[in-house]
Amino acid sequence: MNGTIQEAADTRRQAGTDLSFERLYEMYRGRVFSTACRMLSNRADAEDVTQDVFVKVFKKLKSFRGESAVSTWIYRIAVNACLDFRRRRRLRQAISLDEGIEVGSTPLSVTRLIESTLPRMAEGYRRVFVLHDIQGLKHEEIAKVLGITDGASKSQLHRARAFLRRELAPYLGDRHWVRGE
Amino acid sequence: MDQHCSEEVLSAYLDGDLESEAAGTAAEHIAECPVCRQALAQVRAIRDAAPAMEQFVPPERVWGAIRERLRSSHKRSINLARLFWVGVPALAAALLVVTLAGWLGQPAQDTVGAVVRVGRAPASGTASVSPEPDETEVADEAVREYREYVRGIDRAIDECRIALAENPGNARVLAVYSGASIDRQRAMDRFASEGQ
Ligand SMILES: [Zn+2]
Repeated sequence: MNGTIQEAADTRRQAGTDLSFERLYEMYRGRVFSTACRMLSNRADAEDVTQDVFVKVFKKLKSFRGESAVSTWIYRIAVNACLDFRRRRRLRQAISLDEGIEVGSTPLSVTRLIESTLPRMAEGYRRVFVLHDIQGLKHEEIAKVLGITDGASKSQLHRARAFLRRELAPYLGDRHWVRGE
Repeated sequence: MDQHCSEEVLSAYLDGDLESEAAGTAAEHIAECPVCRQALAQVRAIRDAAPAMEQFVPPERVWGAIRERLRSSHKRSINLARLFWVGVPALAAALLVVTLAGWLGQPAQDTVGAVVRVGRAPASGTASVSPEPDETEVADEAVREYREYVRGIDRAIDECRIALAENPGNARVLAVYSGASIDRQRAMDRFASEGQ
């Protein structure tokens, strides 16, 4: 479901009650949690970030003016929370010298292959790939979420897919096929 | 075109993002080149599979934790409100003391000082009752988000500085520090371009 101005207005009207917040949570929890899982490559961290995102959404709901669609607004809070979390995690690891990166499960299908390759994808490509190809946002929406141009969103996406194709080529069709530039 | 299409061109071609001339050139090459045809098929397989990727649902405990956090922050603001209502009678009582002292013709310097102190406590209490600072002057939610995002980066930069003061040779902290500085610059650029 895409966030619309009407949806934003409805949400704001209902913002005073717990019930509407619960509904908002039900509508967006999957999108926020999935995005966080893929940006952080760690479910437990994604749970923490999902909590942070919805606590923030609740506190800001009354001042939300609907200048952007609800979905854009929530995705922006979610992406920023993930970036913040990753930075803090890197810092914690740097200080404690603790390596703790998790890699995905055994590849079985193209979706599993993508899932297992995402943790190795550069952050800039990854967030656009997750938002566009997986979550289904348009480039104009991603531009608003990430504060970049439509063109930058497109170019990051094409680079993300190029990375995936290079990584997955051995599993997609001809195994012995090596492609020169 | 003698050379193969680049990976990015294949993806852009697939989405119709190429200018018409570039799209024509790519189409001609792909028609004649089995290598690029296969690469294109692989990019398409990736693009077409992605929307079917699982939408993960957070476990029930996440909702429970959110409720708990909201409940405890609500309790905190209630307690501040209570502090205010305790403060008002205290202020009234102190004023009464000053008035009585004046009537009785006693020196009231110290008591006036006490009134000022008592008078400030509920004032700060009322200011803190609102859980969020008043940001009504900020029109754009995006700008508000950026502002908060930059505050987060600044916290990380501060922590990096502290860690580097203790161990200046920690290359991984240095990497986080320089990454955070770059992120901050980018965010400020975005902030400037959207704030106009
Ligand atoms: Zn070719």
